[in-house]
Amino acid sequence: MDLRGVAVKRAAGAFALMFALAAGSAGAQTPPPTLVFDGQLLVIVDRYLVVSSGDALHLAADAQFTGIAPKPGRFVRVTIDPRTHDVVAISVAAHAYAGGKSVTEIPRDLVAVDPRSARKSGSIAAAGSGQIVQVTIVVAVPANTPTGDVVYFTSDRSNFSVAETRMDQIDALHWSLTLPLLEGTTLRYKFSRGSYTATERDRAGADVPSRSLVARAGVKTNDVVLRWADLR
Amino acid sequence: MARAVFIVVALLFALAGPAHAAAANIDIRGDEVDFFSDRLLIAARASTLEVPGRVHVRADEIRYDLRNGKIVGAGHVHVRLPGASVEAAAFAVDLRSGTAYALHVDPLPDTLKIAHFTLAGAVHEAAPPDVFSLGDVNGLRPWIRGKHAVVTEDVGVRFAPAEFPTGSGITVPSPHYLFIYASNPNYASNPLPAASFDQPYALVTGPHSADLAHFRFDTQNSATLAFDHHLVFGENTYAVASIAAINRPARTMSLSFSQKMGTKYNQKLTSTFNTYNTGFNAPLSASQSTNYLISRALRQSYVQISLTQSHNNLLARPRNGQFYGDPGHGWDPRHAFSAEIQWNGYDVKLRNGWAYHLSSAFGYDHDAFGVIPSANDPVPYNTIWHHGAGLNVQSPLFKYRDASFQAIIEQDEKWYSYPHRVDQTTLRATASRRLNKAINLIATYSLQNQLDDYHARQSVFFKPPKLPYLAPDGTPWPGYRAYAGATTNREYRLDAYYTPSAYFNFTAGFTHTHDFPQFGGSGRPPYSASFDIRMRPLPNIGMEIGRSYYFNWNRQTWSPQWTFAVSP
Repeated sequence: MDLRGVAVKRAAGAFALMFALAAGSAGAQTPPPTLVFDGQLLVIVDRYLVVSSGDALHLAADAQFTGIAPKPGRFVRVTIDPRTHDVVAISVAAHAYAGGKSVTEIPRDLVAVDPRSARKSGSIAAAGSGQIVQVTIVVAVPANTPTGDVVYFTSDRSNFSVAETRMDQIDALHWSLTLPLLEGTTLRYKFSRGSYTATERDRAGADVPSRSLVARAGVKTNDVVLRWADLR
Repeated sequence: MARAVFIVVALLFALAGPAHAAAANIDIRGDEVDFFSDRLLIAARASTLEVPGRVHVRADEIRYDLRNGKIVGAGHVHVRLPGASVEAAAFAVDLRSGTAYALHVDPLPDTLKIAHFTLAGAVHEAAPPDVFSLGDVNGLRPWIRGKHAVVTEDVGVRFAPAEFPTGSGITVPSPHYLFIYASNPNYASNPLPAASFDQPYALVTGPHSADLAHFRFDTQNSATLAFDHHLVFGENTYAVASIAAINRPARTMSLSFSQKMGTKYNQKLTSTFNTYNTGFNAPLSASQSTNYLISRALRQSYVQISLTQSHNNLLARPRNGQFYGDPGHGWDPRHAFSAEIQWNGYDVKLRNGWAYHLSSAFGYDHDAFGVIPSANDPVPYNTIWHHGAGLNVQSPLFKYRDASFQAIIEQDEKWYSYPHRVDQTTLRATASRRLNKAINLIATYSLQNQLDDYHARQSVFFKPPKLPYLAPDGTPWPGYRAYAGATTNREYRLDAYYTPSAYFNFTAGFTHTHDFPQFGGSGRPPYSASFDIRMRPLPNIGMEIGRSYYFNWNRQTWSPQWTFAVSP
């Protein structure tokens, strides 16, 4: 059982507090502001609150819980006392809090962790926000695409149904479709003219693998259909 | 013939190359197991998840990301690995890499990295920041709910039984439901004929297979059932066997095989059988057509060889020598064989943006009963050769502010060793104009002229009909006598797209056709209008509805059917 890491941090925090009290006689010292972070709750075990980034935060003995029951998968807004490095307040909700700092931005020295598995310092990339974003698919079709034929978007969401979603024609050679998707969703897709015999092919007529995109805000593709299966 | 097709397919599979490693069947049980189709995510409470031979997880909450093959368990986690077990506060595993992280507090929060599902050799190491992400499904309605799900990795998820929660608190039960989410499109490709409506229902999946029933509707057969069986070996090789209109006398059975062989070669075999029989009675007609296609890509073109064997009737000669049952099932002994080699050039782009490509073909048709119908020529021509050439020229897309213009012209000629020539010219011109962010107009003119020229025997192949000749709507049509093998199709079309947002689109189209021949229900309607509405009442559900209006052509005002589709 190795408490050195946490003990050192707490000693430093206590020392800093004593120093501040001893030095401050000229006027009243205002305590440092608490730090607030938003994230997703993974689990609460013993006196630690673990968020889905894998970081664990030590709970103060009198930490205040508000909101709904703190179950895995729910969202939390944690208030941390920078002097003690403890979480002093937790608010739990069914949906992600907005406007605050992410738990991925918590300074490393506030995180309670066994030194053997401490993460190196540095920024941590945030995962998908869970928001709906708009993705625009634009495809250029061969010039011999018959007049009046409709180009369809087909994806793994429908097991590649050949007439999944009709696209909108922009001009003689381009069609487009804007889809609302969950941010971070990976989508595999292809194009067709509505039937198995009129799906896209490569220039020599062989099947083409499906395309892939990751949904992020403002993504716009520029795809090209080289040939249709039933046309030269 | 069927045996020969089977042998060929078996040989082709033998050449298909090594198969992928078999996907596992992953068993999930819990007080509540929810499936979110838009996220391809399973969320289970008070549950267990077992990957045979690899890992067994029990936890208060389990999340399984089907697309990425990642599992997260949180709350009183017990993990059983081959030869060892772990208690943890949270556990995450990537099924594809075999890397797992177990987070426990003893007494400090500590993370163990476990490689290849083996506890021996685990190291203390921080997990990447998104490893324990549980996703956000709070307050969302799952598409399927149950207590037991079985996932065929990378293919599909099956609930038995299943419930479909609706927004009104009512759940729709089903004894079984299978959702195929494979990113490989070959689990869905099928040669079923086009239908106005086709709803697939997955029955069974395996690591390399999928069986689906289809509920279909088309104007000719009304409501029908179809079935297809898929075999998939990676992205390059697949086979599909299907039967359409199971519940109708006229059935179509198809067998397709497709294989991409490296970067240059591609082969396809397609065999179609059409039969007409009621119940288990002997068929009144049976025909088949089998086509084998192999292509080889060259640097700026490709070469393709096509072989087709057809049997107009697989049945023995009937006693009366003409038909089985009734004259509607006439007996035709012809069984043509066709072979053709094509050369098709890729687009050659010119400096000013114009492009062209060339094509050519050479082949023959053979039939022991004669390629030309005896009514048209009593001389039995058993083999007729042909050769052809084509040219396609495309303009660039000219743009000016919010408008654009593009045109294409194609010319195809085909000559036969019999006095016969087919000549086809096609011209298409398209202009577009965006009025504002939401409204876009597309105007198209197309012209196609085709001549089927039998030279001195033209009047034999296109014999003027005896008068009075009636059009399909019953109107006398003396003008049809002018038809002697030359057709003209002209189309003027205007489409308007109104797309104010990603959640709504309205399209209106107006078409005028001026063809020959065209009269009284024969040919395309001279005037037609269509509308189509596409909307998303919810982010993960799209709906489309449409119809056409024919302005009393062949006694039709509105088109016989609506088009309706629901999409994810």
